[in-house]
Amino acid sequence: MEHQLTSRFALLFLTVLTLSSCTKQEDIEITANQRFIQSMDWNNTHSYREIIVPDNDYMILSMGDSHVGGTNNLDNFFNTARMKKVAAVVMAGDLTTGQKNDYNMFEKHLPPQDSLVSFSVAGNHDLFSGGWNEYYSRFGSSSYYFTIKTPHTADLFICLETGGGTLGTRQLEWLTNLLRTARTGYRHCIVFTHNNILRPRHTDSTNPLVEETGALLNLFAEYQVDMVITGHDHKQDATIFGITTYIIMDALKDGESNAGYFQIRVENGNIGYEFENF
Amino acid sequence: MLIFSAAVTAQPGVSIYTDLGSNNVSNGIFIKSAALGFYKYGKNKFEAGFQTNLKNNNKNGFSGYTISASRNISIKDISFGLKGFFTLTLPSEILSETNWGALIEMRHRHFEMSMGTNFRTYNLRQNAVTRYEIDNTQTKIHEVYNLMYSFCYYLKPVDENWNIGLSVTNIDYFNINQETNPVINLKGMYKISSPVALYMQATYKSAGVTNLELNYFGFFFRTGIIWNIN
Repeated sequence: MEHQLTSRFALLFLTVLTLSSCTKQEDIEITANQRFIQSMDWNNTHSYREIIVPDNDYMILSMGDSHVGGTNNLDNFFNTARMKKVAAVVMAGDLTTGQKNDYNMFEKHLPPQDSLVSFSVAGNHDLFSGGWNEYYSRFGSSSYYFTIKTPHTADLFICLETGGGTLGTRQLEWLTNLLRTARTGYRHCIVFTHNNILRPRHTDSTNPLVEETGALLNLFAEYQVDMVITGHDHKQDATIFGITTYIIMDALKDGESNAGYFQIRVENGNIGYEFENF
Repeated sequence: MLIFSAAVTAQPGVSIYTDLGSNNVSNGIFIKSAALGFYKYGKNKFEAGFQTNLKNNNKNGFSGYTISASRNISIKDISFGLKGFFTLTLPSEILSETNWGALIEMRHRHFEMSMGTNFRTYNLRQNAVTRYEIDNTQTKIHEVYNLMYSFCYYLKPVDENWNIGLSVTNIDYFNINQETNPVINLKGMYKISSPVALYMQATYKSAGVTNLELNYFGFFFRTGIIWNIN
């Protein structure tokens, strides 16, 4: 009887263990910390970018969840960005399905930097099937910052990688240190990442665990981050907490009924925004 | 979680435990301790407790409070518990989190199962509101309902003197994770004598389970004692 119980327990334990790690070995091997270290290696050889704009007012477009394959909405997004003469576009993860051919397709449609300044972070789908290596070889870092300098001031934009459902210890440490040392030198601060922090609706998409959610809410409140822009949940939302507006963007993916992008306007010193749907 | 038995007489008790662990936001090892007092009266049970930080990057000495009431109900041959609860946690000096919700708890020979729902609210505390001049309408976020669950399988029948169990859950005394973030517990329990039991637990937390992109988040070991007084 005891032997039977032990066998049953062992079977259950192994089942749970297997289910809890049912992802490809190559995905497991690259942890959030390892991706962050690679991002920092990339940052060390590519200095942070400062975009200088001629006016005090400027515009940025952001999108997430293009999930290429399909590229109709992606092309529309890039064309709109060029037409509106935006300072930059930021692509907040799940650009692809993680497959090499989709990365190739995305790269083929991405305008060159001299015609449209673009920034990106990796999402969970971008990491599938060893997708991080594909991402890194094309885009480099997924944890970095850039600035936009106007004639009178400058704004800080921080890009974070949360494709694995967590920042990891090192990225969180880096973010905390960046906000502590640099935040006061800039007028506005906007954070881009893939995973939505809050759950404004019932959804099966993953957020950071509550311990990490608490730590991030605390950090963004303490350092007066103006806006946190995310994707992942495919359905738009704007929630204000403290001075921080937490944005979830609609997905850009072809075929989504609410497909769209997000527009940030810095005008008269204030940040305005619109959800734009195709 | 503690499952009450349908004792007819009054039965006070206390549970004390200590956690030692680490996670992606703890900035090293954390040590927390908690005490919960309970009072069973017939089919009813009332419980209240608090959590303290012994070593943590959380500067709040007391970082969690919980209160709950439950009642054992039998319908035909099926016995289950209904529980309502409220928790307040203080993740930092400027932030608090409240949860209230309800659970149905069931136990069978080798299984304990709980299912329910909770409603979470994040609050900026008054010191943050004053310090950062925050509009009073922007100090709270109410999240929509969250599914709570705990499935535990025990090696031996649940009332045995010692036992080992394995559970998948998103519920802990002072911490209710999102339904998309299950954690795995390996638990052991030993009844020293009829009123006193020791228990141990190892918990593994991973992030991104439903992202299909798993990453380690944290672990902790818990050891504690349950004393049914008198």
